[in-house]
Amino acid sequence: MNAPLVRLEARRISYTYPDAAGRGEPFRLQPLSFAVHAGELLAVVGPNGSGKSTLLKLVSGLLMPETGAVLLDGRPLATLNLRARARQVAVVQQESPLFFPISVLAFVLQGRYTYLHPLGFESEDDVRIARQVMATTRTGHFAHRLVQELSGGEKQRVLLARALAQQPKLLLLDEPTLHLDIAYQVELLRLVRSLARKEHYGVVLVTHELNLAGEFADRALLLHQGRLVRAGALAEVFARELLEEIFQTELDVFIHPETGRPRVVVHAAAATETGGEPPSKLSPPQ
Amino acid sequence: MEAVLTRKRVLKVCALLLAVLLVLGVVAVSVGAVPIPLGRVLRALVGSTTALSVQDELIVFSIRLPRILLAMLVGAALGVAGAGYQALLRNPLADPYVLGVSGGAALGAIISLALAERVTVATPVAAFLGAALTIAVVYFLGQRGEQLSPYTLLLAGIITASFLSAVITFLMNFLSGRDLRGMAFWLMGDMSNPPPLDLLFWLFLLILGAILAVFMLANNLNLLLAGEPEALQLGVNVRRTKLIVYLAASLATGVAVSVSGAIGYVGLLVPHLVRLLFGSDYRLLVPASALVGAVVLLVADTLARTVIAPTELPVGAVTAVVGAPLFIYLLRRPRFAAAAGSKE
Repeated sequence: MNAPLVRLEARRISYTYPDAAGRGEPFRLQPLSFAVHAGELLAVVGPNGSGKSTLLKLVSGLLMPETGAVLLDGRPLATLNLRARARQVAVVQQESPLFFPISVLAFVLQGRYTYLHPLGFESEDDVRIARQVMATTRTGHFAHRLVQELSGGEKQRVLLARALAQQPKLLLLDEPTLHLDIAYQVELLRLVRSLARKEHYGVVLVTHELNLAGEFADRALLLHQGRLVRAGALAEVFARELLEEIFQTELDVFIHPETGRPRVVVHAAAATETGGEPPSKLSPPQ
Repeated sequence: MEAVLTRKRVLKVCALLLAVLLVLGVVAVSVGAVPIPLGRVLRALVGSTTALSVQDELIVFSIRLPRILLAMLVGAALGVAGAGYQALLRNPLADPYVLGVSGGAALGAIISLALAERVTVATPVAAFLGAALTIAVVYFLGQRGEQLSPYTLLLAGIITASFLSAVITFLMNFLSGRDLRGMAFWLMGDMSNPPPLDLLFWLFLLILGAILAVFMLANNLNLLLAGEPEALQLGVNVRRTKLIVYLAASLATGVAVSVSGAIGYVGLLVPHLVRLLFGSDYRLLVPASALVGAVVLLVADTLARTVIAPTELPVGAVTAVVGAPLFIYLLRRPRFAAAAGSKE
């Protein structure tokens, strides 16, 4: 086989947020570079506030990098218009709340927008592709239910289906497992990984779940306070002392002897003393 | 029912609604303080000069027909403005009247009448500016941080509306020597003094333009409803879409208010009725809201001038009687409450 295609290349990209009302220094993502190949799943891990989401926004084009460039299949992201971009890269992210009723099928068909004539209607092809990705994500049997009525696991699969309907080359997942039970987490990431292999997507998975990253990623980036601390093979990134320092807690890292996959176990006693795992993102409404 | 919308279905529904509108329009011409038989109205409308007596002809062509056309036009404008604002603000309760936009348009129109009464075109332009300015202010007030909070937005709109109606009341008393139409006209809406047919034609073109502008963006609006970052990721030019819909919905509202006053709840009621009947896809929702809006306001105005004939009610009183309870119902529906209450 030939060398796999480079789906995504980030060349020394950085970003500084505009000063937030004079409260301390504005957050800055220091220049960093990495690449994602076709069929590869790259995990981006790090504590809250380490710059994971900023990195994802730069790669998806929501933010323009201050320095450097993002290349998608070798073409600069900045030169793509919005529609062309949506054919290249799809994002699965925490959804905004939906105030208007919409069926699952109509929701998935939104992924075909980028292929539609501005005033156009979905062709039979569009519907066929939507049906196909719904079969893949096992959402076809509730195609006519409202998205608002779905459980967290079902909704996450529908979001993935909509992203796949875009027929992208690069799939970006922002904390896709946040509201899911452990069984659904594993199911979703297993599906994403097998799709990446089969359809040659490049996948970037942003997560604060170290063990899910360790279980499913091919390689990982570790961010801390806006810096890329380490990048590469899982065994290198999941180094005990490094993780202990960054997450400020005592922990053990076990490497599976056959798969080589790391597993992180936080010391319970230490965790309660230091505050332990980063606080959940599910903060109550203000 | 297949959930995928087709062009054929849009055309079919629109043709059906158009037929209903025409039939109701003819019926509305025949009813009133002086009833005129339907058969004769029909013959007169298709060109017969002998069907009506001189007096009836005056009633049909000079009094009822302009008023009926005005009701249809204003209904279409308000229906589409409501649908547009609902997508723009991602708020199912958005409505030009509730948000104070109609009040802003009315204030603009009153000011232009007070300053330049002779300039006919100044009134709709000033009303448009009033509408655009008001929605901008409400949008600004409704923001909490970077998010547009649904409840804060509604409160901001309702408070703006009540403030504007106070200003209008004050101005009307201040300018009481001048004939600027009555206070009830600007605050409640009234169709009893329709503009002449040639002016009506120009207003028709403006409103048609606004409706087409919103319609052209129907696919974008469908995605905008799912959230702005999502729409952006799916390939929608969010900024341009919002700007055009903002201008078009404000234009439709401004023009409508300049000729009929601030008629409430049509922009709220109509899109929801359409969603209930035909689904919520904007490619059908926009043209159907125009046609259903025309039907609804035609019916409301016909009721306003017939229920206690020969006395007339302001048409806004009729729409408010139906619209206000509907607003409360929608506000209390679990889906809106749940969505608005969760993480913002």
